Amino acid sequence: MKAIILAAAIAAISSHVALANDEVSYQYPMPQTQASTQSTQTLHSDEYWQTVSGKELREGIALDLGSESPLIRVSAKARFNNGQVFKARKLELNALQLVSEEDNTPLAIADMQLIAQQDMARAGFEDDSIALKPKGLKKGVKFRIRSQQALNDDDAYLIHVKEKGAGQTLSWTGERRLKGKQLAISSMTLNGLPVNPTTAKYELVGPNDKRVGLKPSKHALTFDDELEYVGARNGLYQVVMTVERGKGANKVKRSMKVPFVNFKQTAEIVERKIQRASSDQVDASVTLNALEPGRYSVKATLVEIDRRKGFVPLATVETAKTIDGTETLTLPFKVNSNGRRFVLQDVVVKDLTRMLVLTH
Amino acid sequence: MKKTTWKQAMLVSLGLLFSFNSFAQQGLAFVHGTGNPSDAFNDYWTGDMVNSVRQGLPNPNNYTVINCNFDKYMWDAAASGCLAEQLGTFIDQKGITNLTLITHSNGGNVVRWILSNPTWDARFPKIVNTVSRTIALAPSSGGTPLADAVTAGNTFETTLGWLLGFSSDAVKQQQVAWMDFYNNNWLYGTPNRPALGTTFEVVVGSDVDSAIWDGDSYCAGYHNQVALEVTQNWLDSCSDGFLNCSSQSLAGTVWFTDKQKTKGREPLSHQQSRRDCFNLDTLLRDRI
Repeated sequence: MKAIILAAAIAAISSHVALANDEVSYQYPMPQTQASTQSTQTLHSDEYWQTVSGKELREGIALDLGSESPLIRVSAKARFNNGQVFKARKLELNALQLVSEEDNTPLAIADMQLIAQQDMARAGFEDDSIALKPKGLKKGVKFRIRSQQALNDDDAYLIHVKEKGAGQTLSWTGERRLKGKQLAISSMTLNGLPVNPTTAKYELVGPNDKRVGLKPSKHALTFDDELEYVGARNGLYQVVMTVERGKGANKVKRSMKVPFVNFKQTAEIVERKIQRASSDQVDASVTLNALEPGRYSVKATLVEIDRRKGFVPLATVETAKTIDGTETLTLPFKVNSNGRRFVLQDVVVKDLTRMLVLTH
Repeated sequence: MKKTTWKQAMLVSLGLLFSFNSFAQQGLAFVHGTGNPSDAFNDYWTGDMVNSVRQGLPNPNNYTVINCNFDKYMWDAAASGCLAEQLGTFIDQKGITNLTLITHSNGGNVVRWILSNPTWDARFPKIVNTVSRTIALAPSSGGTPLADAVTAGNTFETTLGWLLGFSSDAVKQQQVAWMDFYNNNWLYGTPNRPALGTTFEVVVGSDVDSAIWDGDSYCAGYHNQVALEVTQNWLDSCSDGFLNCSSQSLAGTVWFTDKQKTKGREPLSHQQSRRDCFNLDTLLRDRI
């Protein structure tokens, strides 16, 4: 009986897998236009975050504030200790102070908004965050944030400063794809002035915990090793960067997350052919050489070459199939084929197993 | 003789048309947003909302409420695969030939994944061929800076899944730059990208009415002024408290922005745009 149940379960799983892996073709209702994709991205940041220890937070951490009313969020973080995960002690709002370095006095409660854990959770911060939002901070005065709680020395806390409309914006323009070990940088500015990428701090954040170092140069970030996950299937990799400029009360600090995909050319087109299958069907075949086994899709538009009208798009078909090595995918176009000349355009190949767009 | 033949032909044509329409089965599916509900009918939409909207169908019983794991990435089998499975079963069981989807928030992205990637899964073509219209309530088409904010500095904790709700893959996916990547490479319906094959019309929530003295603030239970003040640190002046208007209107076409059609010209907060607040249910009922 158990064997029957097991066999049925295996059959059910197999059938589910088969559903996702079967060869599938789809003809779009209308011919598709060439998809436009941007290879670069531009990102902006008017915030920063940093991890501090319980000891540091007790003693006071200097903040780099450039606006009159920043939001300062603090939350307990997790840490590993002897193979176990510990979360730091929750912070109490009434024990948190913003202390002026000018006269070493805490900012009066009346001069700031205290945001409780419950309100932060309602805003979506369900990590036990609390926050302070001072009003009308004097420019040129530095502040420290400190807790009067008995925090453990080694516990970790996150400090996150958001300065909406502060005008001190970090901007980054660069590639979305990591090619080989390099992520190209087009430009990096803070408040409109160029930033040398070698002066910033970087940390790789990926779908796994594996740490990979990187070296910045003026035009690229170069990783020490190849990254484990190819494609976007497990989510994107991110470089978290922190930039600082200036000194004392004029110091500006900004953090930014730069997402990118670890790109690899996992398949290439070997051959394309078009043949008339019947009076109302044209079959296009695209042969792929898959360097990595997996499920791939090919999308293409069948275009008629008309002596008077020129190139006339007729239909777009997409076919997906699981392949290993060199195999052919057939794109069946339901069109009237009699006496017409065709060409295949806008061929897009995707690696569906790893989530990579291989050709545009 | 000729006249009689023409009349007969007309009658036959009308009869065929009538019989075709009587066989055309219109269906309606409610597709929830981020989360993994076991009873989206009651917990996500509420029975009042669903039961009101479905009255707009020729057969009000031809509806379904989806329950899938939209804490996962939109391409995950537990997200779009589950959605395709549940919609496919509904289509087969009810003989649906014309399906309208009502989505909320990230549900719009999961639907766009299916409509944009018809060969990703063998179950997808049936859905793409049957869906005639998607009404996307406050879709997070361009992501939200709040998803960036809640994951900032918390990579380790999100990997562990310690941050409930916002810790999910779906939250990471809805970071602004991530959605920009998906819109540029994998999804249709945004500017300079191929159009979606079917209508994708959007209802935009543009503001949050959260004054303590205003009874309207309490529809769908959103009345937290402090939380709103926190989220406004990341959002534009035009937002529903969770998504900027620009994100909601990025894909498809805008059907209306809340105050243009709601009762009393009330705004729809992100919580309210999935409930029967300010005649939204009636507007949807009349639209399907």
